[in-house]
Amino acid sequence: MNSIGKKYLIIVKLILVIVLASFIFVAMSFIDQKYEYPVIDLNDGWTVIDGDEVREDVNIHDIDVGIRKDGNVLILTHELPHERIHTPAIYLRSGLCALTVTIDGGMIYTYGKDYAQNGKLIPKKANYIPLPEQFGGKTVRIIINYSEDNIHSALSNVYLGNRAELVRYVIGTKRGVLVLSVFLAVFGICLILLSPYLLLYGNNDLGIAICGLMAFMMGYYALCYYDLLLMFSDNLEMSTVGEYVSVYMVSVLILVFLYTVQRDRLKRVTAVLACANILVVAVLIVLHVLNILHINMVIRYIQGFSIIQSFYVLYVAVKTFRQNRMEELHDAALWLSDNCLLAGMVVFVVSALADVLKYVIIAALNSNRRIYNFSFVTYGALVFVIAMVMNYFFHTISHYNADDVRKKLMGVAYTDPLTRISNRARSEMELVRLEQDKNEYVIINIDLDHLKEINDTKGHLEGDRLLRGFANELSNAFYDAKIVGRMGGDEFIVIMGSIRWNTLEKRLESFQEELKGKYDFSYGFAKNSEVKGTTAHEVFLMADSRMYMMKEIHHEGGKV
Amino acid sequence: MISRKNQRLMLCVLLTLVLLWAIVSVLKINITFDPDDEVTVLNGGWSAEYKGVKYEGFNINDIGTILPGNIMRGDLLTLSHEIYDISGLDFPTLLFKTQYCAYQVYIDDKMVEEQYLMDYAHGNFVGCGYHYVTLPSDSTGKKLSIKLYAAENKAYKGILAPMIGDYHDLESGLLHSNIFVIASSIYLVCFGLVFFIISTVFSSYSREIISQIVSSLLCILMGLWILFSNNLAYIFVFNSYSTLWEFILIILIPAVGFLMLSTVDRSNLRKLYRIIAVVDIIFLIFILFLHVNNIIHIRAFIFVCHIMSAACLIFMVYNDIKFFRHGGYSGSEIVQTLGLTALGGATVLSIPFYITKKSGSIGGSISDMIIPIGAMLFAMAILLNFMLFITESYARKREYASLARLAYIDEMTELYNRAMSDKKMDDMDHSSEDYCIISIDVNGLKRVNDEMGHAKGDILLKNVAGVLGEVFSDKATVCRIGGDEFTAFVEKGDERSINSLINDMKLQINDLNSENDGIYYSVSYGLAFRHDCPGEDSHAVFMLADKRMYESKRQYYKNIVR
Repeated sequence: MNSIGKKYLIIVKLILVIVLASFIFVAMSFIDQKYEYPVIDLNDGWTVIDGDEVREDVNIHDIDVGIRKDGNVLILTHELPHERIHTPAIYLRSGLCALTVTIDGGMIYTYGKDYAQNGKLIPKKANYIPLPEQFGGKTVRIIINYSEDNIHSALSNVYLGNRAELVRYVIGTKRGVLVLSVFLAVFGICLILLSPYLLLYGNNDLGIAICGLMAFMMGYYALCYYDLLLMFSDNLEMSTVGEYVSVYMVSVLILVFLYTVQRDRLKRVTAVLACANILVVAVLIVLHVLNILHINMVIRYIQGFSIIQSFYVLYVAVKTFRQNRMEELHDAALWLSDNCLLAGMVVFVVSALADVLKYVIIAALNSNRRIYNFSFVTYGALVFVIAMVMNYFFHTISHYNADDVRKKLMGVAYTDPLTRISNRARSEMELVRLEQDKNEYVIINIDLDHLKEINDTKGHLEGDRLLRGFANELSNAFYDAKIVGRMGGDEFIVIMGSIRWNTLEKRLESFQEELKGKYDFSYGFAKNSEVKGTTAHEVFLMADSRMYMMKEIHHEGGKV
Repeated sequence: MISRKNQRLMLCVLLTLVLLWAIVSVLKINITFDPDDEVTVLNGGWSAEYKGVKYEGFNINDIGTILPGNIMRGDLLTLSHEIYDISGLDFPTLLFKTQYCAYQVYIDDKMVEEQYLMDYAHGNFVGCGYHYVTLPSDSTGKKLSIKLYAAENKAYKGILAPMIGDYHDLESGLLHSNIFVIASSIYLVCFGLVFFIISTVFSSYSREIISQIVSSLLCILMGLWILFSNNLAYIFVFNSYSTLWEFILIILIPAVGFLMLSTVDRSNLRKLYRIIAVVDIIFLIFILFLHVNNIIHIRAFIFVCHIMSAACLIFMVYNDIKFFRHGGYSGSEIVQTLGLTALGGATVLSIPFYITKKSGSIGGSISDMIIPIGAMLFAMAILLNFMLFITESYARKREYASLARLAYIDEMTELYNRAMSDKKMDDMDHSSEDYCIISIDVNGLKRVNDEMGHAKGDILLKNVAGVLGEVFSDKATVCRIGGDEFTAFVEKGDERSINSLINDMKLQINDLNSENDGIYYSVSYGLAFRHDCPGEDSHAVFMLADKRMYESKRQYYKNIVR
């Protein structure tokens, strides 16, 4: 029962963290910048000429983009408002199509023609179209040429504003995504870089590397999808192709990940599926690079295939989940950590399915294109990564729990109950360890005086108090020792790492001086470096005999 | 000779380096930058006017040596240059960087942009940053003048050679050359935040957790500092406060560094470290007060930060020496100390670059990357620590599994043993669901043992157990609780499904007899549901099942005798 209660507590805290994290995320979007000029939303009021059809006063998101064919032309016109803006520009994101922009008949901007002439896929681009300073009342005409079949790409928001501020504004709306996706990508790279270590020192565990690759691909996908990669680079083709490749790779990696956690007969099916997928991605990349088949052409087939595949993934995931449930609940945290990752993956797959479904619904209903801009996958990816981080954390909790238990057991087995310092068994274990390590060390033997007399005259309670008090002083004085222990009766031992002979002598002398009258004791110490090739036991005996020498002197001194 | 252990370590390092190389080269191929239009860096050919003296035709990188004496607050420096042909550019833009200056930009005698002049007039603090100034498209051949009003002493150290080009080329170029700095700072901040939230919300107090919280804080601060000190925060927020933040962070970081040391250290120095950290934070609040009221600007105290950082580094080195001489630490402590050492080492390495750096650059050089690399290594160490925990807990899980196997499996039949049966009955007492216990007894084991030997008896048991295991597989838990006694616990099932299970069992046991191994296989059984014994525990249910089994056994022997 206790372990189940703990489990719920963890879930409650988890929800708390997610709420907090999203609060930070929202708060971040409030840090906004001041703009000198207005940023004007030009989404409404377009006149659209689509083939033979002409429509007036259309919202840019309501333009039926549908699936375009090679040679289709879409012409959009809009009258520009009267506004005084220094170095004005129009922002328009184009997807896989060529653009020509004219203002009152004069051409001011063109993009993508050269790609089309070479038979290449025209990359998507965030266009900043420069306008003349006196643009008010003039008519801007945007001619979109499609040079490829199967292009299904919506138009973005259109803004008019000061060129520099427009850039800031567009990036500003994507700040959160920028931070998240860069984090994902770098986090992925870090995990991949750590994987050799885990491979060699862990248990051949490839899970980390796969998770890392998946995080990287998700981050890279978001960077491409939101045109953020183009902030740093002008490689338009890489950004376009990267979007497709990374999203395919994620589906491959999900299968590979499933393979690592799966425990039933279907494991082989998963392996075959994963290999087939990798092959498909490789072939597609080669075909695209050789300009034989553009990667966007097959997207519908791939999507159809992914739907079937994701049902399979869900089936296997649920099955594995149920198998895990039937296992013993040794450790609530560990149980959560295993299923956390699986649950994260399920959420991701479901969100990917939702995206595809949305695609189908939009195509079927042929309306309300505005939800087009919402991508479930991105949020699914976020959930997956949170699950991944949580997974690590539950492992940590489990680690600490186990560590506590171990420490408690060790404490009982290796502590002297009276003085709370190490007992004889612990000290002897350390002696064995010292011999294996071959480092320099010092053994100090200490013998407390007067224990027998006190026991006899004042009683055992007083004797115990003497022992406890001295043990306390000893462990305070030798806080830097490897071991401060009681070997039995009135004998104590201190084991230290390398320390200079003189320093140690001085420390012991001042320690003895400090406690004089309260606790009297004799000591002797020996280093393993004094004689080559000695065993720890011999060093111990050497220290012991020196201690006896001191004891004898003390007693003689007492007589005099 | 290299030992096996070292061999593995070398292989590990080699593999990591190869991976790093592969990732870096893939990214380099992917994320390329090549400006569409020409970007002109205006290095030479400048003229300047400073304190009424004119200087002609010098290179802007030498400006530190040309201007006489120290630059004081209130000085005005005017830099002029001719603008080359910019007619081919879509958005002709001038990119330059200022340090503690207000500025005005003129084309011929027309002012095109000014900033911070109000702050300058009021004595407010003016920081550093990049500026993009849009040039009118008819500026070709005209004279560009930049007037810099020094708002602090020593304001012009390291002026970045201004550049003219297309806006997008300039901005992408700047971001591209700083991509590592940007990516690592974003990562450090997010990573630190995630782990900070996780460690604070989730954990009970322990020494490890405190050190985790402090290291995640250090990550956040380092990430922010890297972003601010490279003047790149303008991607996210305003320019004006970024330098102030840089200074605040550079004072805070040593404080957190000392806190970090206090969590790592085991000696009496811990208290000292904490006191230093607290004093540092109080000091920060004090000078922030002075700064905000424009009494003394925070920049004047920068030497204190340097002293603090140096002290922190010295203690760190001391700690390292002690650490490695002492030995006997756990893997995670070693990893953590190595991470901290990497960060400290990077800071030390960057000092000579900082001192010898003459003029500004747009970043991306090795010297700008040293500290981010150190900070990344630090974050990697934290991550590696987590990974170590993971491998460890997997190993423990396996250990538990093997222990559980030893504890709960009957070796001869591979079914569960008596201990499992007791545990199961205990578990069922704690739930409220209905269940059924089937008591099964192998008939004639004693006679087989006596007449045909124990080997045959074992075969009899194993074969029956095999059938039981197969029939009940995932529908019930079957345990061998004594020599020839078995119990099956069915937790989900009605009478009909249980009857069909039992019929299956009888049929399959009967099938064993067709093997002609001289043994006659048969079992007696009895079953009882929880609802047969309302209000009683599983033991009573078991006793009832056992009683019914004996009844059927008696019946069986009666039949044989007859």
